[in-house]
Amino acid sequence: MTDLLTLKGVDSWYGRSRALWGINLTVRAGEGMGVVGRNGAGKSTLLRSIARVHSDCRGAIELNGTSLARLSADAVARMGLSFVREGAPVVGELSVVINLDLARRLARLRGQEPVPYEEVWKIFPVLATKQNLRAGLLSGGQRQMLALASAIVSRPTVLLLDEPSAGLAPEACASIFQAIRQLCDQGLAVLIAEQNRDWLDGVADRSVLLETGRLHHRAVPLS
Amino acid sequence: MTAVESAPAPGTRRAFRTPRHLTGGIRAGLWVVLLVLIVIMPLFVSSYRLFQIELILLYVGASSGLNISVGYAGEMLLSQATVMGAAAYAGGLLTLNEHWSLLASLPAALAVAIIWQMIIGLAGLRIRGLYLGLVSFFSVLVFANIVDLLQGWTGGDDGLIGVQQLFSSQSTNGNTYSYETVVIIAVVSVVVASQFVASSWGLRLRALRDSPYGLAVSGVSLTRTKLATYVVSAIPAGLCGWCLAFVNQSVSPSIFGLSLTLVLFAGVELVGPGTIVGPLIGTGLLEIYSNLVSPFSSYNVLGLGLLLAVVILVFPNGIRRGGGRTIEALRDRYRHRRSPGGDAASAPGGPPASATAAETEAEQTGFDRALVLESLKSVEALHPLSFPTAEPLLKVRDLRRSFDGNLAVADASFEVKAGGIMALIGDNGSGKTTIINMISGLLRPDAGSVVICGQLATGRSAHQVSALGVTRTFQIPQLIGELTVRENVEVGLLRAHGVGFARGVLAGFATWKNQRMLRAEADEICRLLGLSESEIGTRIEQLPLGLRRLAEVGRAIATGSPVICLDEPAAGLNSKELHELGRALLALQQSNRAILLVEHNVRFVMGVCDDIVLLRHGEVVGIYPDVRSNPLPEELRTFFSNVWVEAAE
Amino acid sequence: MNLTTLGIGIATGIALGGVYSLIGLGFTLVVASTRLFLFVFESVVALGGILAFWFLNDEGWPLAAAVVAICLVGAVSGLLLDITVHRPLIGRVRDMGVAVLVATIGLSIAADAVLSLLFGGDPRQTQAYVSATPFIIAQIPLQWSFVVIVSVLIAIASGFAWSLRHTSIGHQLVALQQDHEGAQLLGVRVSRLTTGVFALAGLLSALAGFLITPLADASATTGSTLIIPAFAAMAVGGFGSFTGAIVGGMVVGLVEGIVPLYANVNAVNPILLGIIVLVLLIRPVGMFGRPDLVREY
Repeated sequence: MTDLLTLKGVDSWYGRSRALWGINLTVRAGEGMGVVGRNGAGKSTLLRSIARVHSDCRGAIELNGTSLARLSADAVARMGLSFVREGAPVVGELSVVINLDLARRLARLRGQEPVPYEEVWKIFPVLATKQNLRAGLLSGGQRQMLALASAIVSRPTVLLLDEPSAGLAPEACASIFQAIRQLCDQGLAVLIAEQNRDWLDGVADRSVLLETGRLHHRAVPLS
Repeated sequence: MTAVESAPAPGTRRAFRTPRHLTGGIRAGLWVVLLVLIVIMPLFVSSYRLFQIELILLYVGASSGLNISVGYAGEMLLSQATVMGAAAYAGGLLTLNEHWSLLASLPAALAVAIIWQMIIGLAGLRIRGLYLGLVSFFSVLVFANIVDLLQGWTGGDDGLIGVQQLFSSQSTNGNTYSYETVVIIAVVSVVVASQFVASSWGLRLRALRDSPYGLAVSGVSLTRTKLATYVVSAIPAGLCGWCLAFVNQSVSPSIFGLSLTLVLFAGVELVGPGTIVGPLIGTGLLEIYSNLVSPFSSYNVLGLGLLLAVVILVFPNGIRRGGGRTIEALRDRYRHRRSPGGDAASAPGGPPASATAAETEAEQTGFDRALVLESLKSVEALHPLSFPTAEPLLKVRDLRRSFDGNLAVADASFEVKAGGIMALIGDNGSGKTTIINMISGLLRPDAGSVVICGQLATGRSAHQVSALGVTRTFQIPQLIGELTVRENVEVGLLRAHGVGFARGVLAGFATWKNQRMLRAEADEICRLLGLSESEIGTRIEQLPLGLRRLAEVGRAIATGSPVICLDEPAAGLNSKELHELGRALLALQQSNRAILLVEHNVRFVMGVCDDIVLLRHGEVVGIYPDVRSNPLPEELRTFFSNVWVEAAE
Repeated sequence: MNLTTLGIGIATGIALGGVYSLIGLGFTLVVASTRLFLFVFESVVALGGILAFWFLNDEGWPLAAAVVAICLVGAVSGLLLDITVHRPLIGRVRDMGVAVLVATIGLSIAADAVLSLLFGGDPRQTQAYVSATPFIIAQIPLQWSFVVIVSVLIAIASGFAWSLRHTSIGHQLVALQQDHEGAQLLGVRVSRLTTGVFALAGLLSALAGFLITPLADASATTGSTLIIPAFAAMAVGGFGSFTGAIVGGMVVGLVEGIVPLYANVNAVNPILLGIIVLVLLIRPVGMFGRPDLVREY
């Protein structure tokens, strides 16, 4: 299995404060990796640094062998990395379908055939009923579904998810995690940041712990 | 106690810092030299040049008012030139048409200036920054229209001519008295502005600019601060504008138009906000340029506009900051070459190698309550508070709040008594921060009540709620980056010990005792928190997150509030910093304060807090008192089981 | 005061409103996409009028060629502004809005001075782009130029609205304006798109400067005169909203068309200032404005 995403010695800064210390991480194709950590540990910083949304960082980040170091966030996105940020922001002014259209465009930019609408409705039936609704009017759970659907449609090779379960009822979580599992089966490398380890059961093949900017590959439950 | 990350090797700092008394002496000396130069000017220059210098002095005087609004308070009022104009017209009209005496027209002109500034400022009560800048700029363009409108009085575009001289004197040298008066007026203007910001108002204005939320939750009304800004900034403009009418002996709208607006604003912004001298130099230089380079011509304006644009593009934060940053960068490079840090030290802002080792070690130990309690014994305790009754200091009842139809908090109820430390825990999206926002008055609940020290807090604004006895810290510390820890802690003292408006305007320089008291109190609070002398005097923007959090806690203590809420104070802190924070909180508990903590760090919560409230999806799942002495309840055990920590090596 | 005069006033007001809306649209495009107010676009407006004089009066070009040239120059001006004022400041300033505002105020003053040096200070009447003979409807004489202005506004506004809803670029622009980061994550070339926005804003400004020539003679100061009501239009209609720019433009235009009939013409701007202050006190975001662009506190 190929290493789709590799990080070596990644440091990240906010001005003079250092947020990440020497992160080493590898995610393989078809693997779901969880990054567990509480607020302030650096999960979002890690994902944002990989996606190049946050650019004040050092170290090697490679997507399928290509270095991301000098690229802008939109260039990284076109290379095949999709990032669903915390709170699942969507383009509220546009309808659900048009949000997906933007994702379809991204798929074509990546040289891929976009996932057809029917597939999306199969995974998230509730979105089909709200096709033409302005995305800003969706509930939190539905927005999370739309964000994930967008990511699916755009055919990424690597997917980053920042707390996809935040604020969601267990049933909504189930369909989302099922979708993520499907993506892994299709060969994507998925990196999921979560606060709670148990959310990741059944989704992540393995997990690492992020504590105050440092990554620990072995972790135990709090006694 | 603490190894500050960016502490230089001893000895290197002194090379760059001049001893304070010497700088003060040099500064005072420069002022004296400048004043003498100005006063003896008539002996050397022609009367026309003298006239130009008078104008420049008046513009410089007016710019010190703009320094108050734009430089210190961050209120982008670009209308300063029209405030001058309003006073000029008032003075000219009253003496010319209504035959008032010169002196009688002064207070009237000042009043007109203040009123005009307040009208523009009304817009500023609701908006800030770029938008306010635009609206106030608009008033510049409108000023000419108003003058035209009132043509009958003002003489319209041609202007008010034939205004009397400043002093009609019998001697042939009438100008000399005029010049001295101008100097006095300009100096008085600068002094009024300077002494206002030399008092505690200077800090209050900086807080309005750089940490308005921090100011509000420390009990200070932002609206009143803004209003004070508008009034004080109008005084120098009013004084100098009034005087201008008599120096120029005519008033016309073109004097107070775009060109002057730009010069005044550029004078403040170019050199850099927040200093007293900056605007004087900036405006002075620009005005000199303006008068030397073919005034009234398009070339003059062209050069001015280009100059402004280019300088802002090169030094967008002001020359002082831009230059200061360059100097600091050079200084850092020099320092790193001399210190033995090696690789780690060469990373910007990175810790010296020795601190890294200490940190990694501290990483593994987690939070040790016994250790913290032990260290508390060796420190001076905070003065304990006492309360008339045993009523809980904070009572929350059936709080409810929705956002866009989603219920964020549903009927939350709990209480915190004096000496209690309670934690609100729960997953993201469980409503914790929303509850804190509602308690501190930054957010209005849809239903329910918050009672603080027996008084109803719901429905009041943030600073009013704070005055009832609560203060808080923020997930991202709301501090004034350019000021030191000490000064940020002093912000907490402003409500109770800040100087009143009248004293600030009239006797600002005389408040040095008050300043000393504020400093001493802040120092004491910082020492109680275990901060070192060097840390207390370091600018916030140079400090790591842990120390910034402590600075915010210091400000919270300074307010004297019995109830302190903290929003995720432990996030992002390493073990060493956690211990310092924990010690601060336990010290607060021992002083009988009530503490409410929103937190995710379970080990920290279990080490510091007595009571826990568990939230899920906005609802209170359970309230668990005395978690350390009682066996762990089922729900908490389930919640904690999902928390993972690093495996021991 | 009879209905005819009132009718003329209203018609003039609508035409003026059309021009202000066009100018406001240009500014709003940039504000909505970058949160920046580039004052200097008013110089591009003045440039539009001056170029019209140069192309039509001096050089005798056919109308179509002149219009195309003016639009091109406008677009290029927008591009240059993006490069010189926008990009250099990104990420360097704490309050970028104020820095850009002040820098562009400086630039616009300098640019107006240059225009004045090249073109001369006096306003000059430009060759009309349409017949100056009025036509009568319901006893009210109306100018053809009014019709042209309003038609252009309707065409541009509806074309705009349509593209935002139905074209991919339109969608990308909406995404960019709502969430810069989110647009990047969707692979939108935000850099290029923003440059395009600047160019379009320049084009609209120059075009507006051209269209207003029958109502106001071309001069170096046209821009700074027009920006007052254009800004009033945006403040009233709501900062950052296209609908607001148009509605606000019409409100301001009507005030300008009608008030001089009953009162001194100099009363217009103070009345506008009063309206602005009132609106800001009651509803800081204006009628349709975007709350995230107007910071409270």
